[in-house]
Amino acid sequence: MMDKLKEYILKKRAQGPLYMPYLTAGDPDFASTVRFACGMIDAGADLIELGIPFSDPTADGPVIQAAMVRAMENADFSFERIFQCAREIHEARPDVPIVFLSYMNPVFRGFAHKSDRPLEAFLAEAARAGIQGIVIPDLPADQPEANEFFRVSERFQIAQIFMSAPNTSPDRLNDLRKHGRGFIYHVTSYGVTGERSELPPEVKTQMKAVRESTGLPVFAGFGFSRPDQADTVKAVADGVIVGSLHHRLIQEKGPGALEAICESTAAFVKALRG
Amino acid sequence: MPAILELEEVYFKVRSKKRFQKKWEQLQRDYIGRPSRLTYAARLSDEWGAQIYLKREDLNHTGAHKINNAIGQALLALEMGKERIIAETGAGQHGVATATAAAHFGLKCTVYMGSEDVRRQKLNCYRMKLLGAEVIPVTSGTSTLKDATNEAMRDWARNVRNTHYIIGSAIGPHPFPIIVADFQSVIGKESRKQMKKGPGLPHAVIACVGGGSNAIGIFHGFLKDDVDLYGVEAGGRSDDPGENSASITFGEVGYFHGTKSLFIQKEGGQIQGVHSVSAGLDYPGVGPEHAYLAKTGRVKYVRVRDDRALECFQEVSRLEGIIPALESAHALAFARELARDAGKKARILVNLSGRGDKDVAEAASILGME
Repeated sequence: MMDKLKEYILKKRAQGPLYMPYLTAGDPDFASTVRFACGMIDAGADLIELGIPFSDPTADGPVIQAAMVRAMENADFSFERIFQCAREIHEARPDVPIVFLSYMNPVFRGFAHKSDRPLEAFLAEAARAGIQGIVIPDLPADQPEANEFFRVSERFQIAQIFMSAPNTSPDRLNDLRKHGRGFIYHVTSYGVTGERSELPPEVKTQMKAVRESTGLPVFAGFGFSRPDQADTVKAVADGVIVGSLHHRLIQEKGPGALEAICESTAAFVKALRG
Repeated sequence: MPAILELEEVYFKVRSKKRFQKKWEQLQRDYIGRPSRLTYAARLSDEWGAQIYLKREDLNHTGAHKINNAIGQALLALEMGKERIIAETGAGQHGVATATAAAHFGLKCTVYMGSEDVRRQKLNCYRMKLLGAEVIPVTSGTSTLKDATNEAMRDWARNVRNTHYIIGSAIGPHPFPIIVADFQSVIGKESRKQMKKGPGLPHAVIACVGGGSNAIGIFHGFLKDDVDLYGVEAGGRSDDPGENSASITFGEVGYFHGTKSLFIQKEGGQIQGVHSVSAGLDYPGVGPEHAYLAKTGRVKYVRVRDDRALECFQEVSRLEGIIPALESAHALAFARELARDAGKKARILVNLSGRGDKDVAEAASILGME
């Protein structure tokens, strides 16, 4: 089957690595998320990663945890509202792919009250909202659920985006090749999301190995806080993901963070393309 | 992932090795103080109307069943060459057990504990520090056991190269539920032998269930016998969402903390914050083996509310001279109920999973005894 997201990435890759900023849906409110996302796209972002807030985000550091808490405290917070937020971004900027970041339980059980096939219901809603891929940090590639997800998501043309880490074995990278689509989200350093002052030196060789084993573009995430760090992985990364930085700005400035978020986006884009 | 694959490989390699078993048995005997005693509770039997037997896990070193697993997994950490162990803790018993194992083997130790639990389990917090462990209060989410588990998982992801995460309950990703059940099944093995040699096999076995480690430990001794098994969940203040932590009764199939099991959930797959007067039962899910045993019907799961557990906490202290942990008081409260209809000759075995010293201050404040 054609991998629409991968095609998009490979086509754009000619101009330099892609930039995919992350936003938690609903932080500080849903209207701001749409404005932030559109602002980022206009400042040069190539894709948007939209986080589904979760009560227990075990792969995230304190900044994104706090963002998820703020999002869930909104009076209009609901599962449906998250999909609506994605749809609004998609309708405003239809050419730019949006991918979801979600923990496993909302994806597999989020619609359990409304449907006998909650995974299908989730993917159908996501497809209607224009979502092109989903990253699920707590879904291991060798579990039956990953197979199930793959099977159903192909029908909706939504990519199953897997993560790799510094200690991912060659055997496992082969698993990712089988059922991975779109790109691989490479976790550059041990631990959870959050800004780090330095990236480990082995990142480059690791990312090369991941690309060779999986045959997919490789995006680097976890720990990016400055455009010059993006510059260091430019030669090996097909894309760079930045998340905590925006939510630190939102924590400080609320809806007024728009300008700072757009400036940072432009700076990262410049570092990657320049 | 590689960390749990390594753990699986090492565990299944060493668990049948003579050298490992000998070391484990020697530690159980000389350090933990096993076998733990079986006590016939004469006055409770009189009062409640059946023959009540108590498996005395409260008499273990550090005062609860948690030490069985902590020492066992610390041995695995040594096998894997890890120099640091971490743990989550609710009531603090697993944290104390892990800090104890760390001190005994000369390992570095960090324990994550919800700030609400740090408040209600101060004594255990001091104990861990005295044992040389670093205690990190967790303020995210509901500031209880599930949040401490989140934080321990984050630490493990960061420090996976030199650190082993000793999960304290029969939860988490494979192979943790199996490892914990194996190390805790000594409770069931011993009590089966003790009952058989003494009064005869029990008619019913009762244990409290949070994540479910003490229950799975004692149940493993009796799964193949014609013995009724009861797991007692925390009924909390009421049946309303957020007011209890009875995850088998109110939970639904879900994915959390690396395992597929029953979890109390809200709309959209969010995990529900839960409540129990006892910090050790205050968890929104249950180990996958319990979910299975509930489905097959081999174990019946019931619930006991906060007030009845507190009543029993006092009654058992007064009648037997044993202060039970608030967790174990849930199991005892159900034993009292069961005894009423079981008849004078019925033998009921209760797993007294821990002692209640840690709960005295909190209970005194709730009961207005200060």
